[in-house]
Amino acid sequence: MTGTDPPGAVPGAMGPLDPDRDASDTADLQESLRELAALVTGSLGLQDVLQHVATFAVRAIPGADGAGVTLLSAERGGGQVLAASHPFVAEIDEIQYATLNEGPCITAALERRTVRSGSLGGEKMWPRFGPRVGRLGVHSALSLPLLLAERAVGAINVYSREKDAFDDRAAELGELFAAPAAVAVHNAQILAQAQELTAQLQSALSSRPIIDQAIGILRGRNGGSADEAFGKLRAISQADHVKLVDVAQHIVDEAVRRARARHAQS
Amino acid sequence: MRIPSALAADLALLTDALDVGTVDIASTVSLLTSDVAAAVSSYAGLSLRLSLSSGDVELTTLDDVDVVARILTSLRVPVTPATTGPSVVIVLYATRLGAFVDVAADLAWLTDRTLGDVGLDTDLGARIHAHPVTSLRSLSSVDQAIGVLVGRGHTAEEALVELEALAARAGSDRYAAALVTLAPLPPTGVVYDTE
Repeated sequence: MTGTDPPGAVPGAMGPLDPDRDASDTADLQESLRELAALVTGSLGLQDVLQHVATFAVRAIPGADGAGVTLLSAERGGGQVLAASHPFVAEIDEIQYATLNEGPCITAALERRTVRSGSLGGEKMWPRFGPRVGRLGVHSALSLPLLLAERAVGAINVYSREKDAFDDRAAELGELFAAPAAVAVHNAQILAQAQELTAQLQSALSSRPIIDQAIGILRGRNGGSADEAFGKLRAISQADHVKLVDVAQHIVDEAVRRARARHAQS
Repeated sequence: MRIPSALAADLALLTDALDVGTVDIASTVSLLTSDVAAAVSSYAGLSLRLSLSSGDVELTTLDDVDVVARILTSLRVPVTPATTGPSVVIVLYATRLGAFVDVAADLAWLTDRTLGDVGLDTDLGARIHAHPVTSLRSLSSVDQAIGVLVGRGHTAEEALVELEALAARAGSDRYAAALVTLAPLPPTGVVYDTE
């Protein structure tokens, strides 16, 4: 066993190492790592990166029937299941996060270590999750935390319908895959956050000048502070179910129309 | 990482303008900051460079001159710009030389750029400000003053010319002229009338 064994893990699951199998497993891992490196060359979004990581993980880890990727963040309210290689993985992770808040990925992320089970139906560590997933015909789980220097940013959850599917070698290969995957996933998340922030700022900056001009018009007419004028704009927006910027634009357009009419008359 | 009160006030102005109840731009900045700090241990903060038709604004989390003095590297996040509208540039700063090299390489790959196309260490030196040169609130005041003048019968273009003239006569700038325009407004509102 590696030093990453959880309570409830199946001891001695690793049989004698078959040189052919070892070479094949290593080739699969290397191919998955190459694909992991290549996937960032095509202008991919975060969701695409996660989907590829889940798919490559199935290939990299012997015994895997499906895999999912979860991102964790206290600010984002815990775990978010963002990609699954197969529908049954999404169903299991929904049970883990949304229904029970219990399972191997949560343990792996909290304790920052690889967690595995070869008999989920009788797993004492997750007394609600294990039997429920076992009844779905899924009996083995391997959860690999996605670790950066100071925190776990998520986890790769690998599942198998076989019992005792993941031995020490599978865990070792999984950890070799998870290390670069963590960096790729996290940097894709940084880019996604930056893109979201940019979009929010551009949208707000497009609206702010016209809102401020409308605030100025209201203050010029009625006095009061900028906050009070903004409150009036918002009240009109909510009462009329019209976007705030459209209310502001209407007020400015109307004032400009009057100004032009006065100019035409004089 | 803490968001300075001046930045929080500017981001609140922008969040108000978004008019989407579920979005708080300060929270988005906090999430980005948290994610970068997890990847780069010497991360010091970020700046948001905004180019508007009315002027350039730099918003920043860097409000400690001692931290600014220790900055040794920067990374301009390679976000695809919008084809129209205000320009936004996000610059990350760190205090350890080379801290952004790995992140820059990944972001270059993710956006199908070469490493040379990513702005690594292009925003150091005189461009780092612990306090923004022009605040968003000052531009907001200028636009409000334009609104006051439009309400008095000017077109927007005339209002801007009027503000510039006021600033020239006083030997000041648009912002100071805007404050002069806004100052005499009565403090208490009367019944709102759109007509």
